[in-house]
Amino acid sequence: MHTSNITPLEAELMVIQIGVVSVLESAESHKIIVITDTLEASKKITSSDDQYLQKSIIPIAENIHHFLGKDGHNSIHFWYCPNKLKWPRHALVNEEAKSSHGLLNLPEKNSLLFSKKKECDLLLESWQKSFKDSQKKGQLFLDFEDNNEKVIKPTYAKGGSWLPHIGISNSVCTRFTCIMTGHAPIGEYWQRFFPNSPTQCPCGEVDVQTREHIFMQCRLYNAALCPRDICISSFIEFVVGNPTSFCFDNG
Amino acid sequence: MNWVKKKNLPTIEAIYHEGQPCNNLKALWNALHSSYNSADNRAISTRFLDGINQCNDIDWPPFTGQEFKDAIAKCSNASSPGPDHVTWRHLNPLILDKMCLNKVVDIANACITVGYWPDQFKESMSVIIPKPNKTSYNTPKAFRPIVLLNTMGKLIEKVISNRLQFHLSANGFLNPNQLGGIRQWSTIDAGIYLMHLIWAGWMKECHTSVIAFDIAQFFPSLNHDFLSLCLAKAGLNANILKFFINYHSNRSMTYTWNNFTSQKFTTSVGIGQGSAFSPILSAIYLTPIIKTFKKRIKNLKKEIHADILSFVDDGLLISQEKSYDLSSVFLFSSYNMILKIFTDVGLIMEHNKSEIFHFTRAQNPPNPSLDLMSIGGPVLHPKPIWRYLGFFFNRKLNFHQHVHHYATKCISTLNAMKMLGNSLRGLLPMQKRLLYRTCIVPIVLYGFQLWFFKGAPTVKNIAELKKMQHRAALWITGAFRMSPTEGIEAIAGLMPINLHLKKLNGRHHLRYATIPPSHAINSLLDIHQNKNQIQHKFTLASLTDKQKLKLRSPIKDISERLNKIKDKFDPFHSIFHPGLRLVDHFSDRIIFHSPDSSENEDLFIYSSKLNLAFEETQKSSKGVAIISDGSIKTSGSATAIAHIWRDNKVTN
Repeated sequence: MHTSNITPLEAELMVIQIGVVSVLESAESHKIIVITDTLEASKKITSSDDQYLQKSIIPIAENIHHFLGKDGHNSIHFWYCPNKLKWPRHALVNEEAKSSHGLLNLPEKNSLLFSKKKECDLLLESWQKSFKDSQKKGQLFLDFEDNNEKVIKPTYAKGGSWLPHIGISNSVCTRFTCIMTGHAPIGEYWQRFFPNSPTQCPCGEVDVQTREHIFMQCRLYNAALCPRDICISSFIEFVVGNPTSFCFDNG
Repeated sequence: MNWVKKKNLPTIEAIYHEGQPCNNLKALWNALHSSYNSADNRAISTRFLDGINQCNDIDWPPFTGQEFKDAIAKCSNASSPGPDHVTWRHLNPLILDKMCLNKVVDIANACITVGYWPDQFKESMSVIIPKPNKTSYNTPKAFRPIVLLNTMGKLIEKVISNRLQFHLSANGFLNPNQLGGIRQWSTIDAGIYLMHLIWAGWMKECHTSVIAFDIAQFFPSLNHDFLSLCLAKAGLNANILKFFINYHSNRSMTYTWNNFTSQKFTTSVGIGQGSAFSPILSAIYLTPIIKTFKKRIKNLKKEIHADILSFVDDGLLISQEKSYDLSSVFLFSSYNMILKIFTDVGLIMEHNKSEIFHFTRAQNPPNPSLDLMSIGGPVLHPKPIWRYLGFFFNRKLNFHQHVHHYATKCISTLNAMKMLGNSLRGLLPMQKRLLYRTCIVPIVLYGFQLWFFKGAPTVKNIAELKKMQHRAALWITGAFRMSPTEGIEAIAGLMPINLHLKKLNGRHHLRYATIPPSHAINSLLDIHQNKNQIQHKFTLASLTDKQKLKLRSPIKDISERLNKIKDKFDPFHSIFHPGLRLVDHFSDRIIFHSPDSSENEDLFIYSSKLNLAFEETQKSSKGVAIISDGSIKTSGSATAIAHIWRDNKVTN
């Protein structure tokens, strides 16, 4: 069964619909079990308030209504079968679905849920793209890598890309934001915005106290915590382990 | 903490009633009662109801438990209880219990079949709440009575009103030009409707003049006899009509002022604000009024072009002409007409709250006033800014004042929120972000659909919003004041405001694919044109191609968007009919199974259960198993496969 420009959720519902119809047509049955890896889709059948999936729900709901209304003992069971379970029969179906090819010509019209999702993806992409080359994010903006060695891109879901990492406490969050934007109470910043103020590091080794110096060389901070790569978690360890780094003297 | 305590009413000013200050409690109760029941014994005339079409009968299957479960799921535990002090929190476990639920369903069904509403549910308590932003609180009119009812009765009311909402939209009783009080009809819809008319009018070189009028004490002065006649016209059957007549009779009311409570008063007019019926019943009350108005306008010898829009008790008369003289005449005569109809049904228009406004793009445009002296009103002078439904309109529709008002409001909220946390202590960054997204974003972006569309002047507005979001991002992250906006926005996980607006706007457009066919917005769109509806003068279809190309309006964007959508929607399909839905009847025969947790042990147990269930269906000849899976390709196409297992044989 191939369709185009719909979401997996709708595809799932569609295939349940086909299954239910063919069962109803062919033989007298009293019990149907549906084994699927997204229980979410099947739950939508019984809730009437999801406007976006209405089109897919109506035919299934009609059929199930018909099936259940025919005999008082008829019942339908939905079993959730996550891919993790590796239930052999479902794995077989999964394999087949993945290997088959969709239609090549894409239709011009989209389903409602698909266009909703597509638009969000496009906007997110344009944000990430403009953010990458943006000057307004700060000239000294530091890009980090996540645990999978990929440069972190901005997102808005679940608190964004950085906040879940650095939001452990207010102090860490504040100091880390300072580090990333370069707007931190360090010599480098004083030099740029307040040219008359002193710029050297309290350790006395360098003339201009930079972020790099604090992370890598400065003897005032715990050297064991020096970040070895540009992964965000190792930097967070440093900031957490050195509570006096990147803050004002009196803070 | 002072601010969580119950707020006391202002005590400094004495309430004046009929020129006399109320010095004791008895006088106060009498003053309150007589002003909230001022519509008592007001004469009404029902003769124009004969001209309204009788709607199709509504069938009314017995209530099912699921409807009650759905209704209670939407109730807030924090809402105030009625005279019996039972809150939703107490009622919730009772509804979840099957035996209790069946009893409740039986009571509700009996109420309808017998046509009786128990006295226990009629008892109500009226809490007096001051209306916001009044200069003086010395008359009862500056306060709003909110009726608290017993929750049990309110639950049944909710279920009934849910059905009424569905059926009255489905059978077309409600008028498209009437918004508010009905599901899926929001203030934004009213705003967009008006915006399209104005922009399309400018295309045809017409300016737009509007009069906004207000009905005094709307809810407390609805007449019960008239309402019953309206309900009959709407197609409700005899049992339900009898129920509503009983519902309105012998009601008693006690008033509460701070900690003092009055004796019982009997009331014979009005629907309490606070009852679940008040939105839908008020909409039913207004329908014949608007229908009659439209009919009378049409039947006049001289043609009058005027349009009416009503949002509960805020009405709007619209006239679009090339000359101001003509539109003034039209507005005057339609104002006079609506005034007469309102007097007939026992409602009073508050003349001094009426406002006039002219929308135009011309340089140095005239701004004429309208004299309503001859029909007992004042002379209406247009103000520079017109506030309607929370939108601030100016004459050129650039919405600078609107955005400025909401952005300033939110910046001051943000300043107040700084009490809750700073860069050292207080709320965590994630919590601050949540607070911003839930309490500030929806307020500051209210009504953005009116000014954010293709070709509209948005630069200044977006700059204002950006400033606001910058402040919020600073608060969330605790960064320096001069930090770069885009950087800290990204760190705080907030999308830049212009992209966020685009996202919300797209969602909003898609919503219009699901609205009922009788919706006001549908009457302007060209694709889902409803054949039975009267065509508006400025629909998209009525414009020439050249004008369409030049037109800038939110409706144009919506129409372009919806042309790309495949799905056709039917919100009134019988599957969604409350009382006949799948869940209403068969919820115990549709069963979901899922593992208790994703621990390996639980998964193993679950897996063996699944095997057992599968084998069982294969052994018996009457069982069938469907195994399905869907996957999505990068090209955007989705594939789904199903295996149907019967008698250990598989078919695709």
